[in-house]
Amino acid sequence: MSELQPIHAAPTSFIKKHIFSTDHKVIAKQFLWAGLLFLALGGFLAMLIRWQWAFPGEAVPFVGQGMFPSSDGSITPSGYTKLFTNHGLIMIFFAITPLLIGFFGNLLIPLQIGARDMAFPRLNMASFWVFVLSQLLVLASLVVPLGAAAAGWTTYPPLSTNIATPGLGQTLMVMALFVVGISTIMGAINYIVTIIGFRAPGMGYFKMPLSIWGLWLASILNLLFVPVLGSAGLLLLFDRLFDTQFFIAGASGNGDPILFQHLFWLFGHPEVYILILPAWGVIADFLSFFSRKPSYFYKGSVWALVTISILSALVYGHHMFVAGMSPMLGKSFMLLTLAISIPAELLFLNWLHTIWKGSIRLTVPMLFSLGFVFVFALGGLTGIHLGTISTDLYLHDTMFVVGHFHFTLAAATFLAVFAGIYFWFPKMFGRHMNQRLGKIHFWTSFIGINGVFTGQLIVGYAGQHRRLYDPYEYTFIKHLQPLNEWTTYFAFFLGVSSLVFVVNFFWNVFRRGHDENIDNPWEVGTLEWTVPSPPHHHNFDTIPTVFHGPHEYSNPEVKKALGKDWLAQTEKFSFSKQDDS
Amino acid sequence: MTKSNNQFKRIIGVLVTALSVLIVGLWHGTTALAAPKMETGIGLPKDISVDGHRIDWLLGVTNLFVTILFIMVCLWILIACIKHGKKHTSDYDHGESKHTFIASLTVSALVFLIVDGNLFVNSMIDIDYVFWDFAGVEKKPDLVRIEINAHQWAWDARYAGPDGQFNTKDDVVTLNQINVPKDAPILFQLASVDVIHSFYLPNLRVKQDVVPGRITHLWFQATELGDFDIACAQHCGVNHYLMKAQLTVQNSDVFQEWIRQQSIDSVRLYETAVKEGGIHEKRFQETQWGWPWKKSL
Amino acid sequence: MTSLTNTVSPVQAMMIRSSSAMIGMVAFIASWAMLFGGLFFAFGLLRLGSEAWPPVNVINLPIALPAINTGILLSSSVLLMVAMHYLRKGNERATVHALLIATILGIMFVVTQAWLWNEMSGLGLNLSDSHYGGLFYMFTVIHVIHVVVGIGGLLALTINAYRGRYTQESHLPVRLWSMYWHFVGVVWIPMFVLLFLS
Repeated sequence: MSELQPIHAAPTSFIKKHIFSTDHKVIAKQFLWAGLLFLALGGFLAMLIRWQWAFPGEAVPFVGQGMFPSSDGSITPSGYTKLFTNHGLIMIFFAITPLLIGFFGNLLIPLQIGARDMAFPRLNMASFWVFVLSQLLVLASLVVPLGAAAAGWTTYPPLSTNIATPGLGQTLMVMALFVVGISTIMGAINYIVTIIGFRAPGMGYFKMPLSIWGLWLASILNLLFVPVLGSAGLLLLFDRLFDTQFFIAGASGNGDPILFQHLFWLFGHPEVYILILPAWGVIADFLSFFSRKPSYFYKGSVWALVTISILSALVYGHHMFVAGMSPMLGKSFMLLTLAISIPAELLFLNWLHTIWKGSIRLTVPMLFSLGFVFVFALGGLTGIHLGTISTDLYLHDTMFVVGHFHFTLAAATFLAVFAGIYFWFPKMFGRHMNQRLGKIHFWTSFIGINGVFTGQLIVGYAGQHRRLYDPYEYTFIKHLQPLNEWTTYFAFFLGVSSLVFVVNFFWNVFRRGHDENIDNPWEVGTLEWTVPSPPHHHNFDTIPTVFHGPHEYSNPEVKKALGKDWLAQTEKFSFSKQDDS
Repeated sequence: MTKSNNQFKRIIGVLVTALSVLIVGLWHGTTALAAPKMETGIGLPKDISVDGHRIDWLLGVTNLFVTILFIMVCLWILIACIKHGKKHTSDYDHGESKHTFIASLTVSALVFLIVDGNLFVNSMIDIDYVFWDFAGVEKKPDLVRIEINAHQWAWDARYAGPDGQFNTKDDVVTLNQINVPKDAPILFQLASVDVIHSFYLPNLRVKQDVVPGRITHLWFQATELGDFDIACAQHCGVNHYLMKAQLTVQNSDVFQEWIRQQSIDSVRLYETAVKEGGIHEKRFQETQWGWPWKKSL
Repeated sequence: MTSLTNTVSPVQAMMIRSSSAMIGMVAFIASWAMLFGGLFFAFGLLRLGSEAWPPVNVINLPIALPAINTGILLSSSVLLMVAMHYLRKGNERATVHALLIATILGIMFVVTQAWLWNEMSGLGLNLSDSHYGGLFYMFTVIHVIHVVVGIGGLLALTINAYRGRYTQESHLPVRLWSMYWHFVGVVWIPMFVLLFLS
């Protein structure tokens, strides 16, 4: 903890201020733009996939002629493999990661712990520009000869090696993953060091907002497991570029394809927690803020987060139950996988207890938070089916898996991202977003999200497997066509509902003026709301001293003495009895 | 479904505003639900195996638990939002008493023991005694052994023929068609020459990845006559969706007769090739694949 | 106890910077250790899956030269420790000398490694013929890339030490690059054992 932090003079030139900025608030916005841009791209690809499942082989309206001229506007089988591959990779690494880690991390960490900036501001800037480089590699991979990456987001070899996917696009995509990994590690080092060293006086680890806990643990997981993906990527690049056969087996090599799966999922399972931990943290805070009630069993939540982070590294084998692993190994992974539900349940109970007997304000961020709890419950509960071997024999690689991870990874994370954007928008831009449009956006996207992913769950349960260009080639899937078509309408509905957000967001970013009641409109006590909106270049004129935890709401004594139901973390207040454990 | 109807739906799907899309979707959904196939279509496909009911039961029980938990969560949120709204005075409760700690952990542990415990115990039994008990299956008397060679984008199957040995001239080899006798255990050994595939039989509730460089196993016992789909469940390239085969379940005597006939043909084919010699024999041998049956552990 | 801290004295700023930088370096090394851990894991599985190691009909790697090279890299690390020792004592001249020798040893390591590649590929050990060759070239190339980065750092240190930039109290870059260089050396040991001794 340090009250001694340097102040750097605010830059004056446009380039230093808005482009090559070392200010964490500017970098947060840059990650937000970059992430939203690729979110739109990934979402567009999703719409095309949905079109194909509803009307296989029919010409895509509007964009078809331009995108698939050789087939008169309809998606080709090879085009389709590229669509779902790039949809997955773009969403996970180039949309969710920058939004949850890059945007939330940069915006919140210094502001919520009382720091003037990140520990290494220039490293922070480099992290963003390396990220941009990786995005450019992705864009390049889409347009090079022999086509974009097509081996699925999991990039399993031998399919992803030259024997089956010779295109330069696949190579560029693997490189992009390696580069985005470097950017992520740079960010992670920065976040970890900043949280360890730059907390304001009094800001003990157990006084940090849960969002900071989520980001911190996610950063530690990033730091340790992204390099494992890096090692898999390096081996794969050697196979692709230098004709080694580390992963090639069968007729053309004596390597080990399962080796890749071990490395991939040793990274891949922590990765899903990396993406959900910040969301859990942010939502746990919001539930407390808008129930005007302390976060229930805060320390329990923290320990649940820590336990889940540790377990996340030990359960990856459940992705490989049917890959031919030894039964003994399979059983151990099964037990560990199921064990993760204990801390997850504790966390969930804490959320439910937090809103119980509160004084719930259904603001836009709160609606998104409750929506998050709803979809995460669905996503988490459907995960139980997939945690054991015998049920996985049937469900593995079906749309049920797709529905499950979209509920947790897509629905939940994006509801959290939107909750965060609505919540911190005033802090970032000094203006309010339109709450009515926000509510419309919530309800429409909530309906859309649930329609789409429930549809996936149902067809998956009925046996439809993944990544089929034309599912109706199979007689046992034929009758699911109407259901898939219906799901597609929900997807389009979801796509249209995003426009509500786009309008609301851009209008308020670019309109002039500075709104009233902007410094602390939600009446919450975390540190970022003790400074003006938007904050000065150096955040805090004086590094604050922290006295309370982040969730001091509805304390009767405070109400009596101050006439308000909340207490800023920096407000000195002596309670009559010491309940500060 | 008429063409104009399709056209109409397509335009609706993209153009019309959010609300009207929803209405059309609902309308279409209900008409679709009225079609005869849909009524039996939601839910698991027809089970035609001796042991599939184990998975179905486990899925069903888990569905029940999960539905109860989910409804509880929804009711909880709903009631909280209605009862503990803006007008309600919030409790000042950090929930950090020992009582809380014990209560929360008890509930978590209870849910874990019941829902996950049930899954774990039954899944252990299922895989140990049924689905992965390949050594036990090997001992069954009327066992049928089949070797599968998976490649982009087809399934080759090989039967040992009357001599019971694989990789001999009386082997029966088929493409995308697997005949099996009803009520007999069928044991597969699976290999791939190119990329990873996954041998998926939805009606028998089993699935096994086919990984190049190693041999994997899968077994089942069918209880119903008829034709069923076999699919590749692992993305294996452009034509992944076309990598399907047909499983034909036959009465035992029909199956035996079929394999006898096929085997005679195989031997004749082989002998013709040998007689012709030279390139014919070579070509014949090159198209052959198969391996001596591997002992299951 | 709140104090107005709009400015921080240079000494204080340096202390903050140095403790952050040390934690950051530890985090970086932990991260990179996982990268190499993944590669070693791959080595283990690929080797377990091979029938013979080294495979038949493949040129075997020598032991003597890599062993000497290992010695070179490790003595470079030792000399860096010596440099730190002199720096703490305030003997700037000896520091420069130790740094210079450490750098030269690092360069020698790279040269020897390049010579070994040349030799082995001349003998017919190829990247694409076997895992034995593939892993050898891959591991050593990735390691050498890290060594080259380290040499760049050591060169900068030597030049800056020569110019008298580092004092008894203030020599953060030396400490950071030392940590990095020791890590590069430590990672080499399992690599050496796996590639040449096993």
